[in-house]
Amino acid sequence: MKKSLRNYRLFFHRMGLIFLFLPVVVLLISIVLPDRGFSEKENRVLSSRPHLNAGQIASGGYEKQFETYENDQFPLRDLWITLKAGTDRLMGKVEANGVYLGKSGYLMEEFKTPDQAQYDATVKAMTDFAQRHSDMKQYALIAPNSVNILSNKLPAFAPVQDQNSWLNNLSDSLTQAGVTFIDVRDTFKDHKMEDLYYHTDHHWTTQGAYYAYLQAAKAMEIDTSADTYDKAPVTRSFQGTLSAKSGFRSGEKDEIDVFLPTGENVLASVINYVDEQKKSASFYDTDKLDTRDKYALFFGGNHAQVKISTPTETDNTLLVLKDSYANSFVPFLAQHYRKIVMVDPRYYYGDLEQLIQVENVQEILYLYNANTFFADTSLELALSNESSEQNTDNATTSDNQSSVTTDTADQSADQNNDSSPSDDQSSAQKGDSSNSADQSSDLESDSSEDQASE
Amino acid sequence: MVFNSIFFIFCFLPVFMLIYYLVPGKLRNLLLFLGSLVFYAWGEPVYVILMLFSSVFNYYMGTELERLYYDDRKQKINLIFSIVVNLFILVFFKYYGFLLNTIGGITGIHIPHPELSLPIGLSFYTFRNLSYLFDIYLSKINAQRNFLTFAVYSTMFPYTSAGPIIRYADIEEQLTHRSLNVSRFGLGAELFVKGLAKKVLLADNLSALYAGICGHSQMSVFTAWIGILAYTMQLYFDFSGYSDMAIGLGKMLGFDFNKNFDYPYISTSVSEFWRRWHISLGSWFRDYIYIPLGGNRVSTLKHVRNILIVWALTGLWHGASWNFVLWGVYYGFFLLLEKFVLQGVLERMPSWLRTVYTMLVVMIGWAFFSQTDFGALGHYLGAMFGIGASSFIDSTALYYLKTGFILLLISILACRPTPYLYFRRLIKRRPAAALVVNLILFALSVAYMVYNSYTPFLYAKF
Repeated sequence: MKKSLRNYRLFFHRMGLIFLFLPVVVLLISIVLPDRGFSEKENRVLSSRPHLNAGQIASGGYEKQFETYENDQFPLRDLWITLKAGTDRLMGKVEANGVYLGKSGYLMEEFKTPDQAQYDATVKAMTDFAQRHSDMKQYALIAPNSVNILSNKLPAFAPVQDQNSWLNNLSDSLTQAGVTFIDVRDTFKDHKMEDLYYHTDHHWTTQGAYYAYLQAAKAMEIDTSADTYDKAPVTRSFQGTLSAKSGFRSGEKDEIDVFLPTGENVLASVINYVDEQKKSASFYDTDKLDTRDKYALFFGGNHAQVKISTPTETDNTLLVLKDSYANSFVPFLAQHYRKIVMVDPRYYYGDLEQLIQVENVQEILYLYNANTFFADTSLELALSNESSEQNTDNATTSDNQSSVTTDTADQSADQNNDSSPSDDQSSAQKGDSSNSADQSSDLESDSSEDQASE
Repeated sequence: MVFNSIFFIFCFLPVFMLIYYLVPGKLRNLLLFLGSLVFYAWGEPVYVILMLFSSVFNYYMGTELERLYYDDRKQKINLIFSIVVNLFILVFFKYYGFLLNTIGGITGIHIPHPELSLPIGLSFYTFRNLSYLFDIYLSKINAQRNFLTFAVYSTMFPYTSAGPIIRYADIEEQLTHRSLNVSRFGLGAELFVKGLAKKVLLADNLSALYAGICGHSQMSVFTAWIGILAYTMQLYFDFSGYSDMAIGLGKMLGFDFNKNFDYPYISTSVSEFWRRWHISLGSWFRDYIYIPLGGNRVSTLKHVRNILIVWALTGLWHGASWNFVLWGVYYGFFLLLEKFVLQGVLERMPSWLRTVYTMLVVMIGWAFFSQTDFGALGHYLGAMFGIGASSFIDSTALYYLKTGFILLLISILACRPTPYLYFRRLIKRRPAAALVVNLILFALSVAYMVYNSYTPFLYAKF
């Protein structure tokens, strides 16, 4: 009895000592330790000490920033986050920030039910566009996502939305409008034992893109019989967006392959990055292999407009309206088109009709992954962006022009399915900050600063 | 500022405590007052003026009420005046929009009004200050002559933002005489860690589970019940965790606060539940509304009226929305039912069955509490009873059962007294092991706080 009382006292005395000094020690350590700048793990710049400013203090903004700063610069931050994610897994958690922890090491992003009105508007814009350009051959390849093709790899009973019914509806609507819908779902299901998608990233692998290309070639009447490739791994340390977003499998790495055409008749392409006023002889920006977002290897990420010229025998021009899935896909097409113009409507604010005229476009390919396509708002705006002299029937469209462009700027910054950087690190942070905006309210102000500086 | 943040635990607290323990005893009240102002003003500096006004006003009215002790009429007028002022502030900031919307709904006249953000802890400090005035009026206490001492009572940071509603009489001694030592600090730290773990490890994860379930427009009966179970547990661990932290901080500062929760989810009747849940609020309404109205020492009809008034007001206190009033009246109904009809029946039931009955009433009650929109409320309640539900059980239900199983199991165990009794025993037999347990809980809580830059505290909006 006496011993238990002594233990009791001992316990609370020790508790007192530990908790009197532990926070003080931690505080001193965090003051002494230098602030970290960029976090590899989170792929963003950690917040730095906010500047004292009376107005900011009165509004509460300074205090919020300071709290975020303390959190971001907490000693051993990455270790704590790993501990948290590990505990989550022990507790049986298989989903975080819309990413499922699937079987065989697959991380899969959920399919969000699209906004019906936005979907209708996009389909209408595509239909109208198809009617305006009935002389053009039009194709749409909306790639299914891993959550669809690899649904058997999802955690048991995962309550995911059905992507197929939306794809089927889209296929019907576009076919009716005269757009050839290239459906790769059956092909993908046949090959689902192979790595069609990265395990830690939301993109398809080059292998996946290749199967999609074979399917597309049939529809686009491309002769692939002479095509041969060398499959070359370029990195085995790719940690994709999904592992960053969810915190799951943060030790896991993916391999990125490139398919290099072989044979004597391989033609060299010239890639012209229009906005950047830069030309290159390679589809691949190997500098990106040293960064976190290694998928940006393909074309160095997303750009508003990229022109690819290849000295083919046929004189044909293809316009690709696309998201980042196209970046690993388009190199396959290059051998068969003299000119390919890649336009990413999320970053492109030019006049599409004018571009089509100037470049003498004969074929158009919509190439998106379904998750991005069904959440997209910029394609509709790009397609209906008619130049004013052509626009006779609809006065309101031109009235809205100015406001529409500013809207697009906001929306493209909001795109979070696709966070590949276009040119520099700041836009990579922008993509990620919109992904993880819920984790830190401070980031919102960061991303708006980025917008302002653009 | 909230307790469950890296900033509070590793910045504010060490700096404050270091100074608090080092300065001579005479200066501690001043330090506590200034520290509380910083704590309150951090993040929303404007409303600190309102809290200070309330302190000054009620301090003055307290001395006035005492001065007028021999003049009943004047004393009553002063009391009414101070109630009106206190309630006016509360109503203006908390219920203004609600009142105008309700009037607009009835008369069709829509009066535009600005959306005011609710000052943190307004409901808590209004009730705290009112209890002080009532107790002076009822001659239970003497008015505090020293403004600083009163201001410490009125604004102290452990309970300023989310309770408990501590009575002046309970800590009158300690406001001027309190002792500090390491073991007392340890006692407080143990409570704080327990509360922190309840809030960060259980409540926040339960909240995510419930939010995930609410995201489905169609749900099966089983899904709806898993959801309401998660929400039931979330509310308890959220609020009782915050109260534990407050009481623990009080201990560190040399105060003893009464407990605010006493394992409400083991109650064997609804009336017992309300003696164990948010005790400081329940006793406030009992002492200052129910008993002055005559309590149960009046005719049955008046007794029923008294209960319904008290419970409608209790509901309204929780939020400016009709669903909270409905939730309060729902409890009033069950308390009356138990008093006049069920008493005999309950006595003959085995205690486990009584707990099941109580928890069913409580969980359905929380459904009223959770949905401020009546459409959504009807939808959710309907799903719980199979009206408009997709099926009895579906794969979504199995998913949430499977992924939430461990969390729900821990929650159900942790809302009962048994684990805490085992922990006491562990302290007595293996104090080192008990220390390790506390440090692990603390480390896990830190990991979750680092991850979630910030999770707003649920009860702060009341």
